[in-house]
Amino acid sequence: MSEVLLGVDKLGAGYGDMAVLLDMSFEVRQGEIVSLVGSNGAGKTTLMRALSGLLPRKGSIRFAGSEISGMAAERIFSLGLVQVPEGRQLFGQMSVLDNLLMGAYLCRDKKEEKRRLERVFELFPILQERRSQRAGVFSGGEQQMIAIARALMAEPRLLMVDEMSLGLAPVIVDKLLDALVAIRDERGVTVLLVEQDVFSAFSIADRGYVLELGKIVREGNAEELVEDPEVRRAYLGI
Amino acid sequence: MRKALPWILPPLVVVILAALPWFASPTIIQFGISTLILATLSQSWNIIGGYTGYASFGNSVFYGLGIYGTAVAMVQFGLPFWVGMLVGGLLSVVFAVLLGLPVLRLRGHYFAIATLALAQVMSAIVSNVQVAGGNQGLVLPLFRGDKMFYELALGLLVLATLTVFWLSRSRFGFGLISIREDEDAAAVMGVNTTYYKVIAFALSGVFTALAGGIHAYWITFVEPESAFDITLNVKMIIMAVFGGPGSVFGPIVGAFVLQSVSEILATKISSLAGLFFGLVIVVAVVFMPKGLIDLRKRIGRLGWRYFTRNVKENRL
Repeated sequence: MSEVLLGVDKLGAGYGDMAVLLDMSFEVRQGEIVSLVGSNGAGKTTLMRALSGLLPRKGSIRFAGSEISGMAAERIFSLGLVQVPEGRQLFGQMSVLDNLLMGAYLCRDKKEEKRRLERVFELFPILQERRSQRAGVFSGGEQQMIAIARALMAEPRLLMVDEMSLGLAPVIVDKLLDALVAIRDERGVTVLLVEQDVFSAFSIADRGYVLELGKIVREGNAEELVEDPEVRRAYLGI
Repeated sequence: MRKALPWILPPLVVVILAALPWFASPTIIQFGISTLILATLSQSWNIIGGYTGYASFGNSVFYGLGIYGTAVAMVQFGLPFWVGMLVGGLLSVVFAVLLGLPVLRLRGHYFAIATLALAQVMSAIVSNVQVAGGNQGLVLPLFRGDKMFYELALGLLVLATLTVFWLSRSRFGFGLISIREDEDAAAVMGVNTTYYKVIAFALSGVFTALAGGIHAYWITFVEPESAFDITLNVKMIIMAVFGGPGSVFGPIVGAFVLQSVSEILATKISSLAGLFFGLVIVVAVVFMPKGLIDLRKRIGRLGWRYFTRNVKENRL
């Protein structure tokens, strides 16, 4: 087994007095694709925000050997824990190129920046063709692609993708899932996929967790979880 | 030649403007001073409002602090003018940091309302402070030297514009623009948003306060009501929005065009002048929300469609 890249232990987070996550524990190993599924209101986005350092949190989060639960968002980001936020959150008025460059914001080396850009264009050639267009005019699937590309510009060690399938056609989702697998296989980037869509989430994952009301209620191999009668009943309606 | 133009034109304009007091009438010089000061205010607002996307109504507080910093230092402590300006500038930085930290957490309308309240509160506070002369205000030593005030105001405007020019091409400015476009995304991309916003607010504040200092010594009389005048803040915004918020020269062009037209209107038909600013903001927001600079860039290609497209794109 490879080493643990992200280890979350008894994590608690919420908004003001309202606790959303309660004593959550899970881990992501180097080179894995891990899916975390849960229905609306289970705390998926809260978890993402807590891990990224955008929310106050309790408990322990270890990432690549450092304790990050007390760190500010930009410090965590610079360690290589990078989020593709829900709803994409692109800089709509800025060009694709500028959006991508924002991903490498903390990189002060122009040459390195260019190298990263070339690597991202290799993965998504269409972005190179349309690099000077405004990000806001792209379709939903393409915007998600830009968001992933922007995150890759930061050379992440762990890529956290929040609700990638939101509002996208299944065909498009499949393509993006393929891209995530390629990112892992070719670049060795570990992926944490947080999803509502159980089927697509588990289709590419090595392992999975099921989140309910701020707690992990099931965990295991992705194939096992899809077969789990309770998961099937709760999420697939079968 | 066309490529070199943007590099030659601005310095040329500065040289012409700097030479102006030696052959213009006193009225023109006076008009020049007030317009240069307004352009500086509008340019300062551009840093926090245009680039960072925080529509500040608190810049009149910076202006008031600059005015009072200078006035109190000169009148109550007998310090020279430049020390007074320094005091005003320092006060505004302290204010920007102390109040920026909580207030800049608010977004959109909430930020605008909170800063609007700050200006009102400051005026009330200063009216009750003994050393600031209370409601009576302070009278500064008279200094007849419009030429000097003119050159000072011009110098400050150049400095503010150089700062904005730097913003437009630096990493720091890029960070501010990303905050304007989507603050959450900027934070996730590793921009320390709190720090960036406070620095932008402070930069905006320093130039505003220095302009206030020049104004105070030039007018030689200060009182709370006019020092913290909220309509001045509205003017800064109108000029910046009219010229082109988030551009380097937009606010200056806006200030000069609007000041000239309103001055002409005021002398010809005084009753209409008051209506003028309201009309301008309505027309600007509806037909050219990106300002004169954007209009000049794109009208050649689009013609009248430029206006109809804007109306359509920004459904009201």
